[in-house]
Amino acid sequence: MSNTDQTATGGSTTPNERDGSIQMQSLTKIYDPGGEHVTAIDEIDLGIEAGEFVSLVGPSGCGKSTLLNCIAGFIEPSHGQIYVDGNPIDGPGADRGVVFQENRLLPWKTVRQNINLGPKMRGKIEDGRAEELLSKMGIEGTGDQYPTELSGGMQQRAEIARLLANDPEIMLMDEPFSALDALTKEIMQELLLDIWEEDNRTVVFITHDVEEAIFLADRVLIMTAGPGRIKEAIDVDLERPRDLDVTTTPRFNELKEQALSAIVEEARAAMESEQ
Amino acid sequence: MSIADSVEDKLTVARSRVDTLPSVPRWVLKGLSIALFVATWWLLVEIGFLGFDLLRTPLETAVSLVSFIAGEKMGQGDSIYVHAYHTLYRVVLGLGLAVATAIPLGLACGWSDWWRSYVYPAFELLRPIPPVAWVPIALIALASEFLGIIWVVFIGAFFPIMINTMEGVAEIDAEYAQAVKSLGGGRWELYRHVVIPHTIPSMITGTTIGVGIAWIAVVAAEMLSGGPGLGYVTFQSYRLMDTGVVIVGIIVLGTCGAVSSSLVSRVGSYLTPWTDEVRK
Repeated sequence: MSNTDQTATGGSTTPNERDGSIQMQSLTKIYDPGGEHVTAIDEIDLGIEAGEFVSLVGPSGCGKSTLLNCIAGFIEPSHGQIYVDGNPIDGPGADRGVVFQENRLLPWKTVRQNINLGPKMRGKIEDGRAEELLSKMGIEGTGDQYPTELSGGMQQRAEIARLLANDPEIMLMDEPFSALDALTKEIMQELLLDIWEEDNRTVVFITHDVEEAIFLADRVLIMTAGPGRIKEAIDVDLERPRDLDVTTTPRFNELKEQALSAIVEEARAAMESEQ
Repeated sequence: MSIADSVEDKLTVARSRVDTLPSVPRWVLKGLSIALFVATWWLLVEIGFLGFDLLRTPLETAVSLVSFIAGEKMGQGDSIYVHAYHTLYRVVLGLGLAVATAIPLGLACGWSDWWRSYVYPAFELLRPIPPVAWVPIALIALASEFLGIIWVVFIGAFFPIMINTMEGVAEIDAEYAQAVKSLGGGRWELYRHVVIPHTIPSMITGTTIGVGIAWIAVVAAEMLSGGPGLGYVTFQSYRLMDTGVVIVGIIVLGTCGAVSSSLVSRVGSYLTPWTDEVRK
């Protein structure tokens, strides 16, 4: 699973050495609705390097979101531990920014107030930073609008801008583009890669779209159908920077085949176990 | 061309003709509705339906309304302005106290299990009591007409504001809290950036209901306790069968109620610009 090539090149383009490595040790989450134990994720041992872009794919109900929520600190694991740069995490924190499938911009704040919220709460507000991020995300001029006035794609851009304003080492993204139409989705994928190339934050990206997973990531992790474990890790050795043309290359298709066959196997296993 | 198409065409032509007709302005329709009401009132007084012959006609009422506005004394010898001032003062004070206490309590009981389990039950006990039923005990216990009326107005406005605030807090999505925590916010930031702004529309709804009840409460309390005040003078004039003052009292009370609730909703929409944007 060595990924040294990419992380090394990533590291050298970063102006400041950035941290953001994640270590999971025998991470387990058991839900207990009415005495009925459901193991969502089971003894996951996983290391993500600082600056690495990792996609998590798997059949629905495999515990992808549980894993992400554990890293975010929204859910406390039943046992096991998560370390960020060697320190065990304790609840949510500004070092781990989260983007969700449905936008969670605060509806009572304008787009600019939403973007400035993180820096404001941490006493690090900078004049003009919000405008800079809005234009970087291609939604300049929307700062004074309320989130409900924007389209779905624009809301996701604003939400990413809000995350970037806080400058977290880690970006946790839970199917952020799955509610968008196909064209908007492609634009957002390229935009996300542009941002990532710029400052190499660690990204954990959940999706059910295999092509999206491969296109974006350094490493695609395929999860087993409940209880969730990491079934397979596929190193994506496609050259960076990437654009959508890469999705038509033979290598991309090979990787896609490899990932799909693993997922189909899992989906089948899941259906059989249900029957 | 199919039959459906030709029918469609004819309909379109017909519709465009209707559209070009000058439509009746809205104010004409509103005026008609009011005119009909006044006419009915007049008719009922003229034919003396039940006890209507004891009332005044709209014209007589308008004349006495004008003379009271010009400063003529009503009832006991106070002008309409003195009565209105006392009543308004009680409503503002009682409502203000209710807003100032019900909102923090509603936030606390909505947000914290401890408050909901150990503080809220005491309030739950008092809630079903109709505000007007408080009048006798409030007048005795508080040993003053003024404080007794204030209490009744306060308690009437308090519960709708508190309950609405509590329910507003309960509707908060955990997702917004997560978003703020991931941006580095702590407990206080959660209150400031999520709990309070999210609940403002519910506070306004509660206050709108509270204002309505405050007016009911103040009129009832004044009728029972004594004057001066609009409720008092209206009731006193009924005893003296001075129906002119009774009707003017009703009109002035109605106007005050309407003005105060439109004031609350104006302040409300000023405080919640994001909900206006949704409406657009």
